[in-house]
Amino acid sequence: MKPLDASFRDEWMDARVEAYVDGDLSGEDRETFEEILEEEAHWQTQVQQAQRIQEGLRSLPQPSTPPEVTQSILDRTSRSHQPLPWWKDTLQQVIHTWRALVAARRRPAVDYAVGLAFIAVAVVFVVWPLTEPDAPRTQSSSQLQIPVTAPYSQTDVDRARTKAEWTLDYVSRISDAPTETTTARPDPTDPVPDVIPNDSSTTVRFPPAP
Amino acid sequence: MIPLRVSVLALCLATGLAVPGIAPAQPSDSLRAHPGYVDVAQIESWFGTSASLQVDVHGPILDRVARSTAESDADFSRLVDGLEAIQVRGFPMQGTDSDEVRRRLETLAQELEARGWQRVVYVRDGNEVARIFLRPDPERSDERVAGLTVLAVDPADEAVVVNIVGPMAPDQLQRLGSNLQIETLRTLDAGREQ
Repeated sequence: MKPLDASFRDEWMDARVEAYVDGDLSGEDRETFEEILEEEAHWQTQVQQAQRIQEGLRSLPQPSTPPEVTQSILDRTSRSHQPLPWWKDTLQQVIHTWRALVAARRRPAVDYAVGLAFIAVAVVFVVWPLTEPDAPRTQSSSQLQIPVTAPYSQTDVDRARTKAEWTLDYVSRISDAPTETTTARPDPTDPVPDVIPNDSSTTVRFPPAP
Repeated sequence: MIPLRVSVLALCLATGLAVPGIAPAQPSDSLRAHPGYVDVAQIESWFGTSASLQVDVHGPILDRVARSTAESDADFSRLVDGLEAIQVRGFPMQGTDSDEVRRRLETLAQELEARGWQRVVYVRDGNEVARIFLRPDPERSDERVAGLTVLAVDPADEAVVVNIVGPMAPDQLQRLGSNLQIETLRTLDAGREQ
C-alpha cells in the first residue's frame, strides 16, 4: 500500500533507502518503494548516491583483527540474536548519516565537518575492534590462560556437527538411488504426476531459468 | 532400492539424535518467517506419538560448527556457514495407516509447491517414495536457494522429513554431491551446463 501523506512518504522512503540498496527490503515494502522510486527523480538520485557511498565504503581496505577478538565478538553476536549483524547495522547507520550530510552540504565548512566525521568513523571501525573491552584476557605463556566463556561447550558443537553431517549424509543417501536416473528440463506443461508410476525411477527436475 | 532405510534406532543410539522427553528448541519468529522454513513439527500430529528421530540445530551453533570445521573440511564448513537451521523428524511406520501418511505427505508436497518450492528430485522404488524440494530465495537475484526440504516415506519402515533453512548455492550442492555421494545433485549441476 502506498503511503498517501507527502511528509510521511518522504520519511518512509528515507528510512528505507539503505535497506533497498542492500537488498534487505522485502515484499510489499519493496514494491511500494520501487513505485515511488520510478515516479520521483529525487529518490532515484538518493538511491544512486547511496549506492556510490556503499561501493566506496566497501572498497576500503578491511582491517584484520586478532582471532581472539573475532571469536569474542562472534560469541556475543550469537548470544544477542540481533536481526542484523552488528557490522551491517552500523554500516547502514554510517551510510545514512553520510547521505544526510552530503544532502545538507551548502557551505565549505560543512565539507570539513563531513571529512572529519568520515575520519572519525574510520577510526572507530579500525580501532574499536582492537580495543574490545570483552576481548579474552591472556597472560604470558608461562601463566595460566583464561579461556573465553562461550555460549556452547565443545561437546555441544561436536554434537551439532554430528547432527549436521548426519542430515546431509541422509539427504545424500536418498538421492543416491541405484535406480535408473533421468535428467530433463521440465516442460511448463508437464504437471507433477498425481499418480505415482509403477516402475522404479528417479526424475530430476530443474527450476526454471531466472 | 532407495537407501531410505536408515536404521533409525541405531543412528539414534550412535549419535544421540533422538532425545525423548526433552523438548526441542523452539524456532524463533525470524526463523519461522524465513522463506526456506518448513514447520516439521506439524508432522507429529499425524502419528500420535513423538518423533523417534529428531534433529533441531539452529543458527548460532551452526556458525560455531562452520568455524570449527573451516580448516579440516572447508567444503562442509562453507555449506553449513550461513545456514539458519537443520531440522529432521522421523517416525516409525509400524502401527500407522501408511496410505494416510503417504496421502498427507502428498498434500504437504502440493502445499510446498503452492508456496513457491520447486520439486527437483523425485525418487520412487516400489512403495518407497522420496522428494527433494528447493525454495528459490525471492530476495536474491543470484542462484542461491533459501532452503531444501526432503519428504521421504517407506511404508515398511519409516517416514522422514528434513528441512534445511538458509542460503545454499548450486555449486555448494554440487560439491556436497561429490563429497557425500549425492549423485543426483551432481547430475543436476551437470545438466544445468548443457
